[in-house]
Amino acid sequence: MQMIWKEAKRYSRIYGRFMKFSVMSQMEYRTNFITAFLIETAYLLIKLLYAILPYQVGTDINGWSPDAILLYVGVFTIMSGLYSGLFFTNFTQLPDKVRTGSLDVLITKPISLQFAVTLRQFELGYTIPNVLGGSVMVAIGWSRMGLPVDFYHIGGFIFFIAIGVLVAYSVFLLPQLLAFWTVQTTGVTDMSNSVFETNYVPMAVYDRIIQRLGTFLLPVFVICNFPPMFVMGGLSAGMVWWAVLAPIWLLIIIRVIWRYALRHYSSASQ
Amino acid sequence: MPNKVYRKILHMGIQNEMEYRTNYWIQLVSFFVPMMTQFFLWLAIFRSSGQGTIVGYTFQEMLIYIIMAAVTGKLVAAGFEYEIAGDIKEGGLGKFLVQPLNYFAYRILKFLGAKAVQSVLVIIFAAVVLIWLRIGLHVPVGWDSALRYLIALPGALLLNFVIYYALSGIAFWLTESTGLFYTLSLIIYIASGSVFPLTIFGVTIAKILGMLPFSYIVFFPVNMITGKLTTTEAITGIGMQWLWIAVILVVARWVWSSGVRRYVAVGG
Repeated sequence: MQMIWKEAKRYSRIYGRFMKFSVMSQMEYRTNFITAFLIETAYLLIKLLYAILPYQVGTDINGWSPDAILLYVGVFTIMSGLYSGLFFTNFTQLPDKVRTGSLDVLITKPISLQFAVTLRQFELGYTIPNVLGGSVMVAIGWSRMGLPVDFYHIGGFIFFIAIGVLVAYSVFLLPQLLAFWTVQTTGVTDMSNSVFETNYVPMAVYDRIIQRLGTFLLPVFVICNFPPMFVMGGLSAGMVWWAVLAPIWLLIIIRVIWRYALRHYSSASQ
Repeated sequence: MPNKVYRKILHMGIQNEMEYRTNYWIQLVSFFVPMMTQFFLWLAIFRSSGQGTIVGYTFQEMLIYIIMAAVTGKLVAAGFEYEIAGDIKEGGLGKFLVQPLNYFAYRILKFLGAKAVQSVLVIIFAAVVLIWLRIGLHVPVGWDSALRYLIALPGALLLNFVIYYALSGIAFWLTESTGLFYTLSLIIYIASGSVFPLTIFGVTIAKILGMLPFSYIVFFPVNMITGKLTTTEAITGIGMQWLWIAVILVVARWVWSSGVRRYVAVGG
């Protein structure tokens, strides 16, 4: 037990360093930072359109009031900031690392390879506009709906956001692992993005079958739907259990596939 | 001689496009998934509101809009601006400047060549879906509106090309221009009516956006097929489309002629 605690402390310290170095290098070469910031701000405009639409139409959409959808789009925006800031760059660089053989150097390091590869970069420019913009939307939606501001609601909301981050990590790392077997193409990243973007609208909008698939089989809807459903009291006990189990289950799957994939890795000629 | 060269370039564009076929099929997913999201969103909106028309469209018209906006976006999509920026930044443009070859002609032919393969597939897809909608759901898409759309399409394609060609000239002044291109392309995406019909912005903003060139890339051609336009509006729209092409072509020439004067071929 003490061992696990020590390791956890070590890894969080290393992760702290990763973040620090990423931010430092972004501050040194500011173009990338500004670029990321601009792009995400433009995406924020598109997300705002989805939030404004229900107000323009002036009706509930499958039981979601315009305020509830504003809150939802806020969560989706925060989530895209976290996903793209924490993981996206790392995931899309994995195929390159496999193809060029630069994975070799990382294998020799005395830390978990999966950790070093999938969490190394942190993109502040992707995170800032989304987390800020998303939080504003959440706050407006929250107060317009008159939801209680107490420890239970805010704590639960943050808890389900954290669940969402873990699920996003697992679900979107999966397709990139294909890189160990095939020469990767940009198509996989485009495909992942488009699957992530099904979250532009609450899952209640979709057909029942799609809802089930997106909750249980490939749980992309868990990422953005559970936080707002929890604060609005729409999350059943069974779903809460699934929210806790899904990330554990997915992380185990990812771990197994990662180790299996690595056995197939035969370094590219350097 | 030049004709032969330009024919080869056109052919090269086609071949390039055929090379990465797996990628192509995987990318199709990213073409269909957003369409599915839009379909369910509008279905839910129409069902929940109980209204016949929303932001000026009936459900059937909105269906056509969603599909044809995605199709049009795919048909006219640029993407060469990054290549041009690379040519400018890394000095590759130099080899075109010293050859008896027009860079604009080179780019447009390569662009059209790449479009040729894709367009056939996308247009077949659109035709199948529209016929299915007409028979299965009795969505009123007539031959005349399909024809109107086809008349507006070349203008949309050319307009999008000249806009991105002019924008790519930014690379003469900015070394790191790709992020800016991406940002601008997202704004054009919104302003062209690719996300939602421009009518969701309300009357005033929709009118302003309607005067800008971007709405003639997607919003206008798609409305040709939804049947939202009178014949006069259709004719005026085509006129506006080509007027914008002419205006932006002048701007592009100016940007490029002053850009090339600044240009220093590094490496290359």
